[in-house]
Amino acid sequence: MLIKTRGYPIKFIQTHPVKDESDHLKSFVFKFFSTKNKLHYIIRAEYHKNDFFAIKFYAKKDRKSENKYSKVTNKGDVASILVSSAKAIPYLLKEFPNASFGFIGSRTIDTKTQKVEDYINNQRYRLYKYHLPQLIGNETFKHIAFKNSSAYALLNNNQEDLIIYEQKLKKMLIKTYNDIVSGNFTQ
Amino acid sequence: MSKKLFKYRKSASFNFKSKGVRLGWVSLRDVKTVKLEETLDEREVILLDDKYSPMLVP
Repeated sequence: MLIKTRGYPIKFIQTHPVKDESDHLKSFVFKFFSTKNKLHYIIRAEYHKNDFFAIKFYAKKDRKSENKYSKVTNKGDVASILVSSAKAIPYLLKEFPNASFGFIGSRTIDTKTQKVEDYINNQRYRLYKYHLPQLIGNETFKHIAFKNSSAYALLNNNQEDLIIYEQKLKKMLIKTYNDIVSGNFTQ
Repeated sequence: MSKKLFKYRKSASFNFKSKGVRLGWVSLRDVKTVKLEETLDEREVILLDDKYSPMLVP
């Protein structure tokens, strides 16, 4: 099924500095409003060393929840929300033309049954893998999917050697987020 | 024709409201620790279909 929605306009809000010693340098925060499900959403583009952004988004109403990336609103409009979140990519490319981007599909949590989805090939990853190739082309990026971690990477073709660059990114992400696949769920 | 013929009869399975078991889902208490480094070896390069022009970035 092809994406028909154009998404919603996104608005840049601010940057957040990161004061720890990690490879995460700062975050760019955007917002948009879904006219269909009447929810506000926050996009966080977390900028790291090696010109890499991790894109994350959540419904603003869940901002105080530690499980905000794993919650499901059950109010639909999934394709528009994904398209809107991906709009941060062309926005950031203007300032960071060599940047690469990554998405990790968070494991969905069912608060009623207190159960959590598998980390392999989860539903958010399946959405990214299906939708991102329709939004972002291969002239600018090489698309790589990692089924076992439910991650999807867009490696910028401007990088000199993509094989070496991919190894660098993997090393950095393992150092910074080695526990991200397990998740850190609160009951 | 007897009205009984059209009488709705509950099937034996009607009372089950479960949506079924979600494969791969685990209890929050049973979440195992998995390291990112163990999951990045298998990768797939996604080849895009040239007949569709991407919506946001070429």
